[in-house]
Amino acid sequence: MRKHFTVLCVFLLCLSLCSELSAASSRKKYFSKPQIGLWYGPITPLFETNEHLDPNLGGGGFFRYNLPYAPLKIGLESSYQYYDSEGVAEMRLIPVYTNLLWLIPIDLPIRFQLKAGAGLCKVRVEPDDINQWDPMFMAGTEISFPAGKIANIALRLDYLCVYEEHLKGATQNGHFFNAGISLYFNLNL
Amino acid sequence: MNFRKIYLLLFIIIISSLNCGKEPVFTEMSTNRLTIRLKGTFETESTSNFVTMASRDVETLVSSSGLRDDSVDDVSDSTTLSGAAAGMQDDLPTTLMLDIAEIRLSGKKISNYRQVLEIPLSDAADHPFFNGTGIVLKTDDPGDGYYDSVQFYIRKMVLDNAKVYQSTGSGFVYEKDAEVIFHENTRLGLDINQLMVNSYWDSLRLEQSETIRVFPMVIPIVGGLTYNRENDETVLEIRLVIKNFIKKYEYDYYEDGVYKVCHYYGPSDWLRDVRAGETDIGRNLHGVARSYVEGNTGSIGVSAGGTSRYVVAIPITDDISEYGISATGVSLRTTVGNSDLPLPPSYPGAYIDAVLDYYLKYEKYKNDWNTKSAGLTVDLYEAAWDDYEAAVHGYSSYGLKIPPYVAFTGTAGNSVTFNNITPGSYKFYYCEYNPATATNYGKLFLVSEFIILNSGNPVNILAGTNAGF
Repeated sequence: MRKHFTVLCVFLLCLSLCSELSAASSRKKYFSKPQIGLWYGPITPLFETNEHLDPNLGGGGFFRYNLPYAPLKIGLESSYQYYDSEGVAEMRLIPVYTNLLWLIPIDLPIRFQLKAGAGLCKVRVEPDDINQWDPMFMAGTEISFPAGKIANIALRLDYLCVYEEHLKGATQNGHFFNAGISLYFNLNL
Repeated sequence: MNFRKIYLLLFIIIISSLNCGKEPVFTEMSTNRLTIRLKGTFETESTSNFVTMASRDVETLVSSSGLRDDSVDDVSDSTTLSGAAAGMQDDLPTTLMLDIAEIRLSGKKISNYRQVLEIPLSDAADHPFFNGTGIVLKTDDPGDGYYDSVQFYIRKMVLDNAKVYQSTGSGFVYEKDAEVIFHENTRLGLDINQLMVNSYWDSLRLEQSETIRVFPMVIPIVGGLTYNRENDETVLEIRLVIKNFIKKYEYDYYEDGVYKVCHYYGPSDWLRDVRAGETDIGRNLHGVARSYVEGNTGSIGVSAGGTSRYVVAIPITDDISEYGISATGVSLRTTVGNSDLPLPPSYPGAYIDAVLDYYLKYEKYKNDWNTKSAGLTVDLYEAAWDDYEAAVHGYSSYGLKIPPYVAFTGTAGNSVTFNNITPGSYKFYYCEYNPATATNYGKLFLVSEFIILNSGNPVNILAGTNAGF
């Protein structure tokens, strides 16, 4: 653990040194603009949810808007996630949530953001014929860099928890991990 | 764009959250509330009231207490063949192999787990398939609702000890045991699924695309299955009539110009008679399903008024005529009369001796055809087969119904106990059936053989112990 921490510190230090040499400083302000984008990538159930569902590919879209406090943005996200299983069970998720994004204040050509949010998730399960909305929470991180004046590319890693333990008879929540490459655009709103 | 719009979105999401779902979906996924039990018995009860599985001679006709169907004609006694010895002549089947591909409830897929079963054909083996306990099949739960049928997809059904005999010109000799690929391995036996067709008349009908009658095998759920996930365990019991219902058949074919026959085992042709030279044995595998909620069943003791009797219970809404036929399968087939046209010989391939033999058979076939078809019209042909199909319940999507509750008094006792009846109103009947009587093997019942019990009064079964009669 200690060794990993040291490696991470060295890596971040190298990145910060490189930033002084890069030509990206003129584009540093891209985070301050409203953004809209799409993502696509592997989605996988975690923990006990992983015992019943198989990983797949999924994708979604998002919109982000600035807040008066510059390092923070507010986002609205949604995606479509389909999970098959070894048997006939299959699950479709449509999470719809808002989140708060915090830009880690390190001056690098690539940007690190942390995000956390909550919302609702449309859950549809076959063959049980269950179709309902559940509350959900999410947390994640995003590593992005600008690809021109209006476009950005990012790697996003999100954990989603579909919360059900408040329901009568429930002993489990749904746990999912989404990884994705996203492309998003700066808007002049 | 302003912040008010963002807040509006947030407000909508919060309001929506007040109308969240009530079902713990992820907990449900890890919970199995539907149990499917597969049995190979005509009887329902799990601990008693069974007919034993008698060992029978494979060379003797069923009518004389053997296993041989009357369609076995080319090699009627394999022990008399040249070189016959143990292992080189017919022997009793010992294992039933089932490869189950899929299960559906009223068309809704609830299982696509491949389930491969090897079942010893013996009472003594204490296998759940034959001891009344039932094999529990892996399934997922369906949604809440009412289901009236099971579609049971049997990929392969193999009975072992199928023997191949080849013609020498003057007789037959043992060649080998038939082989089949089962569960990716070469096994001894014959896959009878490929013979589970009714092609003679199905090919003229709309449902011909469903000619393989076990893929799926459509099984009625007598009384229906009302699935509600509020119940902790719902049991769906599926019974295939296999115990005391297996016969030996003969399959004729040419291989490299050599005429061969394969003796194999399959479900009895009691309903749809199989005649010499025919290869189709479809719709002779009978099945029934019933459902009950664990902890919500009734029991009742019934006096059958005599020994060696089957007692059956059917829902009050059903008519007993759905559970039997008006005359034996053999006599029903005979009534088809001259519309039951002879079968053409199969072409053996370019082998001179075999082809000459084929042409001789073909001349005979033409003569037989001309004799039978004299005066026959398409309308007469169609009417005769329609009558036959109606008589053997061919127009029901399920075929012949099997009673949902069946128990045997034993050869000494005269009463039975049903332990697991779904609450409801039932009519009770008995049929005389002495397993020691040779002619009873491989048979179910004619409508006239059902004798109503309790003076014809239906019995209302409640959960718990009910007063018997």
